[in-house]
Amino acid sequence: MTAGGGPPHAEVALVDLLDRLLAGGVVITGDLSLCIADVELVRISLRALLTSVEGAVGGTVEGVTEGILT
Amino acid sequence: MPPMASEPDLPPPADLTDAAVYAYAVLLRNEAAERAARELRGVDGLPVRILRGADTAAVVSDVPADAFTEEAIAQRLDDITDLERLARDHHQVIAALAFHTAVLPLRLATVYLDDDNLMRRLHTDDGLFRTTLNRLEGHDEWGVKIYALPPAITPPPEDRPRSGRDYLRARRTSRDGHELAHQAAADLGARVDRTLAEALLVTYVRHHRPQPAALSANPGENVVNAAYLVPRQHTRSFQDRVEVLAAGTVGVRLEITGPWAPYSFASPSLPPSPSPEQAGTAAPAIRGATL
Repeated sequence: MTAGGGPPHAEVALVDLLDRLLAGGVVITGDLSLCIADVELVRISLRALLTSVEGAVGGTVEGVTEGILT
Repeated sequence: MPPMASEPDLPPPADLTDAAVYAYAVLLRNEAAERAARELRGVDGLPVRILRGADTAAVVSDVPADAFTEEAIAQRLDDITDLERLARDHHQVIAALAFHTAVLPLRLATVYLDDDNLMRRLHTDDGLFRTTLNRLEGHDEWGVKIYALPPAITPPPEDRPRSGRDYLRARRTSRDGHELAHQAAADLGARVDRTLAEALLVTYVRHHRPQPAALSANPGENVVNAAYLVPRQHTRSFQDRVEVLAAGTVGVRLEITGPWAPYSFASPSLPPSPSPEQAGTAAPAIRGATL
């Protein structure tokens, strides 16, 4: 972190962060080798997130990802 | 502190013949932020450097190109450990910069072929970036999440309902309770939007998709997942207003997160500021949740 003191919240919830990283930020076009504007990549990341908690809560991952992406 | 402007930025490491440029953010040229950036580590722990345009600068890391192809990124995003590491590495750079100056965060995994390509973009969009950055200056993003709490469980007299009718009645009661709580959460969300807009405490609102219940550490179903762009001098008033509204609503739980860099408001083509009349109606995302 920076010498002048870091941001007040060092550890944020991953799910809140991903809302912002995958749906926010500027999407620039042109001359890029890669940019995640593709919903497939968003879907993949959500699947990973949900798989990580699936054991604890049961239920199907695909059902949930479909639900939040539609 | 010695003047840094004369100090050349590090060139890309020579051994990275197949290097690409990972871009985190664009900011107005600012000495303190540029100095801070040099101390940072970015994705995969790689050093961070500044690429200067005329008025704006990009904050980047040199990355091995083969680790940032679409296929490689898709693999990373599919693994919770890798996904979390990438997201936090990216965020850490942006959060540290946002502490010093207005930043325009770029979408996760924005990777350029080389400096020239990125510089060209910086040059072409210079005016747009500056306008957006000026709009974001002095603001923070805050998140407000509203959850419908599950209705209190009233257990049947026995272990389970004795007849089909009891069962159906219990189900209906439970479903009605869910619907009431859901409605209360949605109404509170609209009230928060309207109140903040009327009090001129927020500049913009954006509604993200409600988060899946599986991802919440606490009880309740996420119904409203809003982000507000808040002028820094209104931070306390914003929090107070939201908390007062939440305290007066039964059956819901409200969480405030932040301050965030303005991830949700980085698009140069934002709609005009919400007027009090519009606030609360421009939120189709909150209808997306299902019970």
